[in-house]
Amino acid sequence: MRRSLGHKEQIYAWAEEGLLDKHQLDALAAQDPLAPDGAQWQKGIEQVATAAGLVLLGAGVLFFFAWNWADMHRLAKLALALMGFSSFAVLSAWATPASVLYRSAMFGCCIATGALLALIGQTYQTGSDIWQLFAVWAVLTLPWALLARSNACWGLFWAVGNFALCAFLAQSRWQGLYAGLQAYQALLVVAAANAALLLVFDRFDTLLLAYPRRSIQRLACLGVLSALGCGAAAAWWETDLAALLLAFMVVSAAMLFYFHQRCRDLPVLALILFWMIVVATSGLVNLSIDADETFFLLNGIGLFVLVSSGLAALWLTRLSRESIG
Amino acid sequence: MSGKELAKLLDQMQAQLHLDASQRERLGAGSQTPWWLSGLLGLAAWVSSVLFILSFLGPWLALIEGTVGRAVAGVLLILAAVYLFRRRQPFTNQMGLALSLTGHGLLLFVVADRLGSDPDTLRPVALLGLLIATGLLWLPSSFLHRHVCALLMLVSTGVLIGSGAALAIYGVALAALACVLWLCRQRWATHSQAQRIRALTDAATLLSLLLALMPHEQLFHHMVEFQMLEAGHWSDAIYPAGVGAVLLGVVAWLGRRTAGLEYGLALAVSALVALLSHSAPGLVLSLALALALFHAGNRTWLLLMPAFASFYLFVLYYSLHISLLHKSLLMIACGVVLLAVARFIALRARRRA
Repeated sequence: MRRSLGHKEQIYAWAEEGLLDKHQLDALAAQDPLAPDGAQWQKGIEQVATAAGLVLLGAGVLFFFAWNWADMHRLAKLALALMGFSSFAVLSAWATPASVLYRSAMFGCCIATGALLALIGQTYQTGSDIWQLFAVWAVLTLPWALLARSNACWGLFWAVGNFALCAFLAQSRWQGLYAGLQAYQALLVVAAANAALLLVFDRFDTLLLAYPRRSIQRLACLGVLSALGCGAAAAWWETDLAALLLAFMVVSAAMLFYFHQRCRDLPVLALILFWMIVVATSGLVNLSIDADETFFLLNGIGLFVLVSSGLAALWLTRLSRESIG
Repeated sequence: MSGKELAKLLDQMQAQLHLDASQRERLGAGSQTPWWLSGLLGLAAWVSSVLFILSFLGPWLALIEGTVGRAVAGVLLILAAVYLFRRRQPFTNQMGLALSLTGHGLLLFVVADRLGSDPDTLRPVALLGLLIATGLLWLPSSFLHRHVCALLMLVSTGVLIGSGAALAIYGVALAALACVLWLCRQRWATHSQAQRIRALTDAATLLSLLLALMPHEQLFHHMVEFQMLEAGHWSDAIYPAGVGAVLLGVVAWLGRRTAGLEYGLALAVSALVALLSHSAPGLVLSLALALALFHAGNRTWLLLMPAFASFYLFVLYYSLHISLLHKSLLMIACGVVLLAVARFIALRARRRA
């Protein structure tokens, strides 16, 4: 079996660090050459030439329309955008389901949907808020994500959905800032939305993804921890946010237990520890400023960050080595 | 690489090389730190380093004022970095990098401050930067620090060279150096200086890509007012021709053992692509580097090449050196050539099967 590019990269890295000598590297290369053979070159060049050719052709056509975009009728502009959208849809119908081409075409449909919405908003000056555009885009992305079952489409849905939610909370025409909620409630809404996505993907990832790789769960964890962590770090300064400090402590402890004992996920554990250090550092900064202790602010906090992240790194490295075996 | 994949690779290598348990353990420990751990450590180390530097520099500069105080502080920071690098831990490596860069920057600031704000003073500062970076590259340090030093060396050399045709030739030379080093990776990978050669190879690759953006200097006029690095109008001749020659060289070297007709065809197609992309040399460069990187088995850079090509297309869109129609036609022509190549290869493979 031929080695993957990742394996070759690792072997070279070991050799460059002096962990493999010349004889060992030559022996490995003799058993399975480190350079690609004829068949690999053929496949690689064919794939690169096809992808680069299509991109250049597409970019060339885009540049051509950009050349006389200002002189085009608005219906012609919409027709062009629809043509781009339809070409992705036709390509996905033609491609083998779950193949790279199929998932790429579906992702293209998701992107083209957003571009089409932006063009309609710009052409007809609908007067809608930015969050409405993103919320509609997120909703219209859902069918493509469900059909594609790809990480990229769901990742886009997560990003667009979170942006729409944050934009809605930050600016609402009818109910003012945070949509009439308190600041801590708004952050809890963001965390709850991400937690819901996390639970759905933890339970149904084999149904929702053709190749489940925990990427969406990690993004959802990032959403939960960022919302609660930002609020908890600010809670040392704003007493109105105190509920978030409590929520962060409970949620991070629960997640730490779950992702260590039940479902080992090292990047998520690193994220939890990072936010714990940030929240604790924010508390120490608050205390030292209140006590007017500049010396402690510079040295004590530096030492705390150093020791806490050093301990976190030691623990994570041990877990990482355990997983290698 | 995930833990499972690494364990699988180690199993394969243990069977092929008859590794003992201790060497297997060394290889496992010597594998690159996972990105999420590096990120956590990097951020924490930089925060604590910044706080320590502030708490050190404040009292120090209050005690010893002026040039001497700053210069000694710079040297002390570099010495502290060297000490930290000897610990060979991910966290101390990141702290060492922060201290070394601060010390380096402080020494350059001292010289720049002494010489005044005249643009001509950039050359002595660049020369000092080159000397310090070269010295630091030679000291035992971390992967990231070696890379930063190599990059500073090459950037300082670029500033010393100046602008115009000389900078164009430097850009081509860096591209050629990066391609040659990637193509010969297997030969130098076990050399005693392999870590430094690797740092220079990565730095040459990165800087050659950045220099490819310079001919479209209209973008940079708005972003930075740094006239010493202005590219002039060398995009018209030297740079595209040089980068085209690099692509031809890479294809000629890679295909040297193939049959006569196919070899000639590969060279002819490369020459055609280089000719068509005369006004967009960054595309030719990314193609040449992608071929060399595929040969060298470097997945990370290989994944970055399409990202660079996409960014280059974005820069090209706003570049004013040719009209949008001209850009459009050249891209359509290149796209058609590449699709024809892909179709030819697919047909040939089917005929052989």
